Amino acid sequence: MQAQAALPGIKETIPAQHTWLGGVWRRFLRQRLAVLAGVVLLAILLSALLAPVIAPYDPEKIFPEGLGNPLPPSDKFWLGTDGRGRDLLSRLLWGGRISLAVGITASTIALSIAVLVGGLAGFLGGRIDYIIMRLVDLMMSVPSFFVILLLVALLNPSPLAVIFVIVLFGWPYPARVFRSEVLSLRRRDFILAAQSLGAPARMIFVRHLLPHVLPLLVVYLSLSIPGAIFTETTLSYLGLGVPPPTPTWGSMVLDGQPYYRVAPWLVLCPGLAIMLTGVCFNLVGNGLREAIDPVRKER
Amino acid sequence: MNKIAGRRQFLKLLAGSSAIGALAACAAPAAPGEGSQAPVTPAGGEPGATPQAVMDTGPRVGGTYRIVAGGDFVKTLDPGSAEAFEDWWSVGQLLFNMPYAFDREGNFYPDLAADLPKISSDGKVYTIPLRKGVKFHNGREMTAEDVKFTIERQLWPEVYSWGKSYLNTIVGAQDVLDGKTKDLAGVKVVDPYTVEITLDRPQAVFAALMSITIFGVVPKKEVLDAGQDWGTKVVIGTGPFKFVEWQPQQRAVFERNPNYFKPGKPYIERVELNLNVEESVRLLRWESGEADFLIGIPPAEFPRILADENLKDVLRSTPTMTVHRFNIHMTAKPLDNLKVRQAIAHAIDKNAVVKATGAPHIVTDSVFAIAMPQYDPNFRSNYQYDPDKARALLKEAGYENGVNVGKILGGRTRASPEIEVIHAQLKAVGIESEIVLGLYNSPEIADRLRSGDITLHILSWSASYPDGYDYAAPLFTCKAREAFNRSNYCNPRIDELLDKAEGLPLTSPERIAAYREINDIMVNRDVQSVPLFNQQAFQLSSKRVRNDLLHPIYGLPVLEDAWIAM
Repeated sequence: MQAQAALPGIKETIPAQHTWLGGVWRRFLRQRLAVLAGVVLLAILLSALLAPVIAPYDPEKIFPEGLGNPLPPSDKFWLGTDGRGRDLLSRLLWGGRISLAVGITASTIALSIAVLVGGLAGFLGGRIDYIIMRLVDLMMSVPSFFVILLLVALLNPSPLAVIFVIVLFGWPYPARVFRSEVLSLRRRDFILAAQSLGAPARMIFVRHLLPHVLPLLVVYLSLSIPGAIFTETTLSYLGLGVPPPTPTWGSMVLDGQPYYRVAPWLVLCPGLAIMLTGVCFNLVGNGLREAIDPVRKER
Repeated sequence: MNKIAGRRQFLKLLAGSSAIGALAACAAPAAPGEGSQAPVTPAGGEPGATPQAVMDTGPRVGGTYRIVAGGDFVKTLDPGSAEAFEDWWSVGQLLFNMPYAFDREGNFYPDLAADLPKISSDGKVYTIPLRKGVKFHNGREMTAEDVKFTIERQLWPEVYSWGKSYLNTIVGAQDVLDGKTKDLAGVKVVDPYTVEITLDRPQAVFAALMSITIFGVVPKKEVLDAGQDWGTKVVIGTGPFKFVEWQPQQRAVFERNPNYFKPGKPYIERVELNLNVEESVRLLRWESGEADFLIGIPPAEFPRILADENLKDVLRSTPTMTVHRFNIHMTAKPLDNLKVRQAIAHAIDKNAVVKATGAPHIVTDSVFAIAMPQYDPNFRSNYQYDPDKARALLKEAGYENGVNVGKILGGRTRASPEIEVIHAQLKAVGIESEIVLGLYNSPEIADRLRSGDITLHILSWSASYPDGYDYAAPLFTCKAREAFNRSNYCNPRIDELLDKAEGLPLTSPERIAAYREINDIMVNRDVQSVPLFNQQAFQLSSKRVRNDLLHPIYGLPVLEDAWIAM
């Protein structure tokens, strides 16, 4: 966990402040699969980010030749067109923007809440801990998906509504994880030391506890983003996501489904994109976990 | 006039929107003569190309006709409450007969009635002679008592019927509706084979109303005896097929009525209706030969199926009485501006809209269906597709840099192809809009449409009989704003024209002219509505079946004329 103090007699080659990050980095690079996944993920993120520049067409533009009868891949349309005569590649790139943006934003917010709430519960203990944890139990005992469906329908489908519901049900489980992490950290010597030196609780929480759960946060983030993307996708698939004609990967699967026999690529392309993104995030997440925390491999 | 739309249309809308592909249309194959018993040459196919066995057999009795269908709405087979699609067809075409009917060509003919009704000179009294010797499935003879019972029972408060509003011109209807009496004064049994119906005002369309499935004649004694079981466990009619069993949401089975009053008919021994089968599974089951008839071709498969030469002989199609119109809210800003509405009409390329559906529906400028006498084949909208004119009109209206016209109702869980195409077409001329999803029939969406929160929507409306009255009364009048006129549209001239036309004979030139003026007002003068297309029904049959041609009212086959050849 802590940076290894250089043993006497061994030349210090790495500056001390870089040791931990550098170690993580080196251990991450050693996992070839995770690195590969990272590269792919980077490509996916970049292509989504650059969609306005690299997409060949306006994703909502209708080409009459493809109306009602999707065109197969060709020079003009690399991935063909969908049933409404729109370029599939352009929609895939633009659709990734929404799906990824919603997934990443929602996960980040949900985990920030989880760290704060879970961390405070673990740190403060007592009645606050009890109340927070019962709330978490309550949230976790709700069949979240049905409530999500209900809420999105009530809120009127929009990216913000989707983010809101993902956050609403995304924080309780990680909050519990972070609580137990903080609980165990709290009994560590360095916290005791800080306490005995008279450091105020707020400072201990911010300065000593939060930095120590950060690695866990990064790992959780990379693992929960695909979950959020799946939720977004599912909602879009059910017609409760971002309103048409704005493409998202989920709505593209929905639009393509009726054509699964005549134009299977309409479902395959967004489906593969979703799958690939999910797998990559998971691999990178696992890689990061091992890199950050080589000791607790099996957690 | 004071007829508020029945629930039947309500549900047909539902079926129409989800199954627009199901009921799509194309150039109808040259239809063989109506009711002819001669072997039918499959449309478009050269005789040599079809298997010999097919050509040799005339009508023959026997065989099972297996149907796969969606049909998740099917609740009961009581004529008054069967209102969705497959149930409605089962009632109207298999199990029951109405006093009158329309054939596939739209000709009106007496079915259970022995002749056309005698109408008194003031237009209020209809005397209906009944056919003698018509037997119910249990062998009892149908009489005037049963006809009277059929009509008055619909109005009993404890009986659900989608057709109550169709009957409210009959003298005494209100008293029965209110539960004051069970006896409908306006329907008299003159003798066992004559019924006399008195209306409170002349209503020429009443004869046509008697062809709607709510008039499917039920046996009085047996219905009363069956009580709660009527419609689900006990179903007795006069129709070509007898009820055998029905498992809700799964399947219904019917068998040949050997004592049918049309000698020799029907030919099919048994009809199995498999319900609630998912769209793509349905097609697979039809392809594997597990079914003879597929109700609802997946729209995505249309181009492939229509182009397939091998399927030409088994593809059944007919123009239906469903018109899809793009409706514009009349008082919401900025649509209260006629120029903006005109620009919208000019911006819509109807051919592209039809193309997007995947099926060759018939592009139309008329608010009336092609099968209706009010339809004018020479009518053209003043606002044909012309993006430049649309832009010019927007400029005139002061929206040179584009205008936002609010929300379009897109569909239930995803936007329909038609709506996405129109959305893009409007955008192309600078008319911005936002697609919202929802169900036209839900109370929430209905309110949002009426209030103008949702300003634009496509309405697909199926008429229950081939006459424009079934559109005009529930959709076009000021009073219909309580019903299905959800664009806050009120032009007193339309109400006036309908009032004027109500007492006139169905096909009188004056009546037709009044309706055509209504069409002109809606499409050209007020630009309230942009008619898009007249839907065609497309279904798939199989090579072993003959003459199961589609009826335009139902979009489903007339099975009493069909037979299984092998």
